[in-house]
Amino acid sequence: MSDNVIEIRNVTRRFGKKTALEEVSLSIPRGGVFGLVGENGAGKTTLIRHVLGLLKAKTGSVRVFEMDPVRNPVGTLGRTGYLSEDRDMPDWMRIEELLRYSEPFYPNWDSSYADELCKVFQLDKKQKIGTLSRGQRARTGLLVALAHRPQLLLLDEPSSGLDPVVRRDILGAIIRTVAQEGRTVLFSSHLLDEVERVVDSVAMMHRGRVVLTDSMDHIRQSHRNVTLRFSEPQTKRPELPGMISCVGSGLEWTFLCNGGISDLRAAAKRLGAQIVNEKAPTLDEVFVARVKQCDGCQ
Amino acid sequence: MHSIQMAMFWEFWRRHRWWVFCFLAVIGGGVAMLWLRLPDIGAGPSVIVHYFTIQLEMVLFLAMAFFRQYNVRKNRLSFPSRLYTHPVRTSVLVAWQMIFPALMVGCLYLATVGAGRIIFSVTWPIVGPLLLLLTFLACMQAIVWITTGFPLLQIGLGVVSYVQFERFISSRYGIANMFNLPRSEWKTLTSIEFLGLLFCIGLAYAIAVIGISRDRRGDCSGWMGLRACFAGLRDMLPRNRRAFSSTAKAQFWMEWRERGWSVPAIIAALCVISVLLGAAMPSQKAVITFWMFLLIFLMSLGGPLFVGLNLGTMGRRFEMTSFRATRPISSLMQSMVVIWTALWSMLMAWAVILLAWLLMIGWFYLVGQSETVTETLTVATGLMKQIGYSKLLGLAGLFPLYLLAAVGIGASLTLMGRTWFLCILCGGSWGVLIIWAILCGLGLIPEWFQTAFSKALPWGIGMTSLVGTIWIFARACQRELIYQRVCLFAGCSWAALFAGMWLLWRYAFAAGLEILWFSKAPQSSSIIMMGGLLTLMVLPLASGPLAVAWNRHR
Repeated sequence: MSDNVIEIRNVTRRFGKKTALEEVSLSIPRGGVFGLVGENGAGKTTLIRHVLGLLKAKTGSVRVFEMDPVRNPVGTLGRTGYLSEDRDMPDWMRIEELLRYSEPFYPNWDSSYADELCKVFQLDKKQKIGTLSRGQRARTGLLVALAHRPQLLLLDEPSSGLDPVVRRDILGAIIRTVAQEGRTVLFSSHLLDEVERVVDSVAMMHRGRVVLTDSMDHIRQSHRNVTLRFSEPQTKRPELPGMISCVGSGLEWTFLCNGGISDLRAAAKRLGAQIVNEKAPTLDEVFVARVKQCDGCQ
Repeated sequence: MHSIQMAMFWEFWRRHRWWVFCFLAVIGGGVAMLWLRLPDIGAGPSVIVHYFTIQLEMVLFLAMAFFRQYNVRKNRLSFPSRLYTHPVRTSVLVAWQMIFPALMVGCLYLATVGAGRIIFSVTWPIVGPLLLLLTFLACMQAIVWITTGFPLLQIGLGVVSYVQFERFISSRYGIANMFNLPRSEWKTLTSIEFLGLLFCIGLAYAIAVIGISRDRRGDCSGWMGLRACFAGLRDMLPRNRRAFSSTAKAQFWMEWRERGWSVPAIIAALCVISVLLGAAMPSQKAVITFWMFLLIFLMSLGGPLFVGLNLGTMGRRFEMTSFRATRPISSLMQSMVVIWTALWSMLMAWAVILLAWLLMIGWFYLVGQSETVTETLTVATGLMKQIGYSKLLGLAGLFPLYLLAAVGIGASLTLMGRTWFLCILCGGSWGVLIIWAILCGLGLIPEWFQTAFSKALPWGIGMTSLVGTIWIFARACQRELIYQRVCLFAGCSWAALFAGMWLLWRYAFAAGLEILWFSKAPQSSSIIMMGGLLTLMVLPLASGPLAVAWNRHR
């Protein structure tokens, strides 16, 4: 049995003239939390829809639990919990009806867990979905996605509409719990600080391409944010090994580099500069630098 | 924009421009058609055309007030909630929102009168009808805006006001009862009428200001207390809270709750309306209700295709919603549940008609009008005898097959989730038929071609159906959407149907029975057509899952 829950190979998808996904390859290992980050329109939702089989891969292949989600929707969807970006649910149903309706579709449906989540999310089971606020709707969607203890939890922009308390405490706690039980969570977001808090691995998407895939620990270790002070004002941008971005002028320049700190120190010495500040960059900084680098290449 | 009024006018025009174009098209077409038809009737065509023009305009303005100035689906104002944030007093806001449509109504009415004068050389009155139309529109706007959040009250008040206006205009055109044609034109406007209509406009404005003010400060939440009371009562009722034993049952429950119930409900509503209309008929002939029920039943016979189309609609523009698409259920199961719900919905609708009929018969016996029942039955039996019992029996025998095919094909068409496909299919087929009829009518198609075409048509229909069905089954099998045993079942069913039909044909022809087309000698083209048409009975088994898969996995 493969260690990867999701295997995406060279998937390209175009909608008319717009390329939504370009040669995307991604492997998501079993267990853990995987974040999919990118700006709006980067292709996150399109990728998730391919994983669910809602979009058919025109080129390349998508495998979920070693199955083709288009050929075997029951096999893949039965083990997947999904919270859609648009929180699409029938407005006329009550929450209790939605739970009753959803139950037979999932062999692992846990009614007591559903009740417990209902209490945690402070949802009134008698309320109609059409009358719920955006946040309550998101919580209801999350409740249905979680109640059958899925092996794969797909959350498309789960934070959207949730208040800070639910977002920070409850969502984070649930995601960690799911991952600790050996199940897999894939969630997309453009709120990078939030992703950084909970994910084990991350894939950065930009204009339909995956620009970086790595574990959070490795990203933190391999990227450094350094500020150099030169003895003479620099008219030209100084070059450092593994440099992704550079801002500054005159005597002081700040770099975001991909590489070890010892290499950077040696390089700074060669350039006749002194490192005045050095820190691990945030995911946000890495993402912005990578995206700019990608745009620069194009 | 240099002024608030201009900005509001621009917003108003943007929202209503298509309505104006449609209005012009409808009025133009309607007047032309009436004018072409009426000279045959005789007396006073100008008065009749004018009267019906005003009627049509009233209906169109009513539709504008209810559907363009009100968001029926969300049960809130479409105007002017977006304009509430503007720094404008409510009275001013309402005034402009009433003046713009009034100007539009005025221009449109004057255009109608002008068209009548230029094209048909008739002189229609201006002041009276124009003032009436303006009053009507103002009153409708006031009703719509004062009853925000109360849809039933809105409809009720709208209908009552509309009827009052109808009565007023009928009296001005010399119409004594609803089945009479107008006799005289409303040429003079009395001062009492003038003042009365102006008073109504003023009152409508005042009411509209109150309504909009309430909505602006968020007071239009509807019958909250009453709704809560109903909700409490409903919660006290015993309900089935047991878990569904299978996914198919859960899905059926959802399909039924979402759309399946609507067809029997519409039929029931039509029956009630028939009863009310029958009771309101001036002749008081109870037999009318019988015929109305029969009309509803005959209309519903064409229903299966539409019910299939309706039940197959999986979301906006037929596209399957992500909620539906992510249910762990196979495409075969999903399509079968939809078709099953559509069948059930249709059967329930017919059961409602039957029940209504039985209730009606019982009622007639209770109130001592049993002779109405006897009369109707005599007429119905005579009619059946005229058509022929064997023909009716044949039709009844074919009916389940028709039901199955129509529902299945209708559902498959919308389950595909491709609007363009439906447009091409409907537009294309109608277009071809119309062009063919025009060309034939103009004599542009030679006789020999028409004869050859009619001979080839059964072959074409039969072969297209056969080849098409085989291809659809092959595709569904190839995509692993249906099991081989489903194909086997479909093949066997088709063979059994074909053999049965063939034997019946041979027997009926030999015995000289008048059953449908079986009285004619079997010919190879008719046999091929019959074989092709019979494939449509089993087609939904493959077309349904294929359509769902095409919609679900885009």
